[in-house]
Amino acid sequence: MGEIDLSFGAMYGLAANVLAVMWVVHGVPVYVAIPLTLVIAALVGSFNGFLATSWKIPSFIVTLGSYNLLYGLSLWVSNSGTFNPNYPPSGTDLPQGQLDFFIGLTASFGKYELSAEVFWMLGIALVVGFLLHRSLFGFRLMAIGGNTEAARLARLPVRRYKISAFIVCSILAGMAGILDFSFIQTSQPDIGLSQTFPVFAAVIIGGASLNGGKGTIIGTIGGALLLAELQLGLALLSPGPHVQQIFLGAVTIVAVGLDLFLAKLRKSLK
Amino acid sequence: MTEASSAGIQIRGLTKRYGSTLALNGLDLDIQPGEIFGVAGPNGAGKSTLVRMIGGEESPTSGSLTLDGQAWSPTDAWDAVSIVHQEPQLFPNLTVAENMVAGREGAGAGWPKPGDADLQIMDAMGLHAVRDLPLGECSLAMQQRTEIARAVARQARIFLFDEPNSALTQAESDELFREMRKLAESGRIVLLITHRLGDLVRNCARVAVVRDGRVRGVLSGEALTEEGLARQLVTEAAAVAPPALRASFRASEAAPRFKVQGWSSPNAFRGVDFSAGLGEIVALIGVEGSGARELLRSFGGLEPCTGEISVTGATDVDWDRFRCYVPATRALSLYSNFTVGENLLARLGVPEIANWLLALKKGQMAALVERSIRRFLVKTPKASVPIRSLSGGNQQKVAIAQALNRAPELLLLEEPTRGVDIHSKNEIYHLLRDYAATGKVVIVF
Repeated sequence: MGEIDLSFGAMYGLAANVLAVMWVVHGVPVYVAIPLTLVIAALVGSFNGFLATSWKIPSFIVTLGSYNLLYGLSLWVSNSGTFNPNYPPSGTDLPQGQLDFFIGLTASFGKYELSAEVFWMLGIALVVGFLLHRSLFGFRLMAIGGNTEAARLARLPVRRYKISAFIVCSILAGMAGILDFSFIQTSQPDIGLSQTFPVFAAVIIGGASLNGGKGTIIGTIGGALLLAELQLGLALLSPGPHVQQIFLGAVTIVAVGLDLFLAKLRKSLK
Repeated sequence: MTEASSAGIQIRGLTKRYGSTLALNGLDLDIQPGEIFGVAGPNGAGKSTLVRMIGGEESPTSGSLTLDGQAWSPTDAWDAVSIVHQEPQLFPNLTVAENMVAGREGAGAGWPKPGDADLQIMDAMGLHAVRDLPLGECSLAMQQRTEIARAVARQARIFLFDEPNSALTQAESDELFREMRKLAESGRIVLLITHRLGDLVRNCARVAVVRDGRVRGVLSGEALTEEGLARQLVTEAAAVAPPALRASFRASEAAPRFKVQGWSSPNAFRGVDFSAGLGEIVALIGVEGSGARELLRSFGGLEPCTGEISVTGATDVDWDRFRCYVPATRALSLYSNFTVGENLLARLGVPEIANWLLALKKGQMAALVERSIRRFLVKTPKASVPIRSLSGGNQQKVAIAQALNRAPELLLLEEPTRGVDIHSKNEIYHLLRDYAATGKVVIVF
């Protein structure tokens, strides 16, 4: 839809830290703390969306700002500390039931030790896939992304849709932060920040356009899997951390270049 | 070969194939220097391909281009050709003088300055007063003149004018045609490509009619009349241009359906009283800057306005459902990332294409697309082809059909037939007349 959200990595981190502080430090029941965290994510999304649409600040700049802002908030609420619900700070005591529930969110089970996080991913992909490809919301988002001015002249609710998209993005980032926190069981103020560019790479490899109006869920999952496979493979081969970074960069450029080349080839063959 | 025909451009058997479609099919053309040569043709006839070919933006699949008897490829000698588009392809952030020298800055390391020759050309073209203004702040006519001046300065031999005056006022386009005549008299080759038959008849010595990738005939002298051209252009003999949309200013006996009173905008118009009745097509007429365009847009709710606006007496209706505005340029109504079918439905919502859960009703969408394509005479191989693959006239039909699919009581169209060939034009007028006849109000500018 012609907008970009750079702040999701920081939102991911903020979600984990806010949840950790509310639950692990202040003892807010996890059943309340998780919804509250998602509400905060929604607020962050509306903040981004509001500034980008009503004040017409380019979303690149708005979210570059909120990226730093949210990271600052993470540092502040966590007091730059690390939290682990298994080892709460002295004086607080987490009920075992809540701990089991939280860790159970992403527990591994079955013969192959598959984490429940995989099913969360599939479930969320289904929901977002429906939103994007089978709902009026997605249809209009694609229209707005393809030609914002036309959508505005056709009196489509451009502003509302853009804000909604920012909110969806932040909530999804928040959910990812919560789930990963449950999986890793440790929160740090700076988690998520390093995810920003790999996520963009995955989305772009998956065929989405940064200009808007193009992209699919299947493609994005494919892009993410490809990058994750590469990272895992390279980690197993252990040629050194620099190789992973170099690969990430090279794969992004080569994948998009190849896609453009193939599109051109298809066109000339037709 | 006679001497007269060896000077100028000769095109022999020019063919261009895009995949399975033949854009040009063995086109032959002789263009002599010193005349304004017109090219007319319906949308999709291959005019724009021809322009791109002479301009060097495309290379032919087969056939030859010669200039003054020598084989010539504009890709090598691009300096020789200047294409003047409707929207000048220049640098709006630079001044007029800087635009003059951009691309010919020379080897100096300093900020480039126009030379004496450049200054002379600019003075001759009446650009003296705007020399140091940023180009983006100049009028469209001045921008076009800058583009011509640039080409004169680099001693271009061939000037292609592609729909140059569709956004100009009458006085501005007269000025432009005077400039074109001067270019022709100085021995340059001048081509004019336009849909406006009147301009072709008035300004060109000869006009070639291009249809289906070939030259169907070259009209000159006595034979060069608007009717003669129109007859050559339209395939079906019966469709020779009927009098275009007549403005109907008759007072409707029934209570007016749509009415504004004391309608004012801060910078375009004041105190307009206007009303339109059921089944009427009303044309707003006015030169650029008269406020007529803004008036139309304001009816669509796109300009901040004060005054009273009402429909059958009521003022607080759901306006977004009630009215539809179709902008003048297709770029502002079509979605290039969408297929033809998706474009046709882009303005719809709940309940037409989605249920209360916002889930799209795919089956109904497909049926609706089928029906729209038939009803609005959109020529497309399939509903799932990209919108850009249609010809201009058909894209325009899709743009209008988008709005018609909403079935608005009030349809507002800004220049619905701009840059559209006669054939599509007639079909669009038909659509609008049929639509108004169903008891709706149509207002065009």
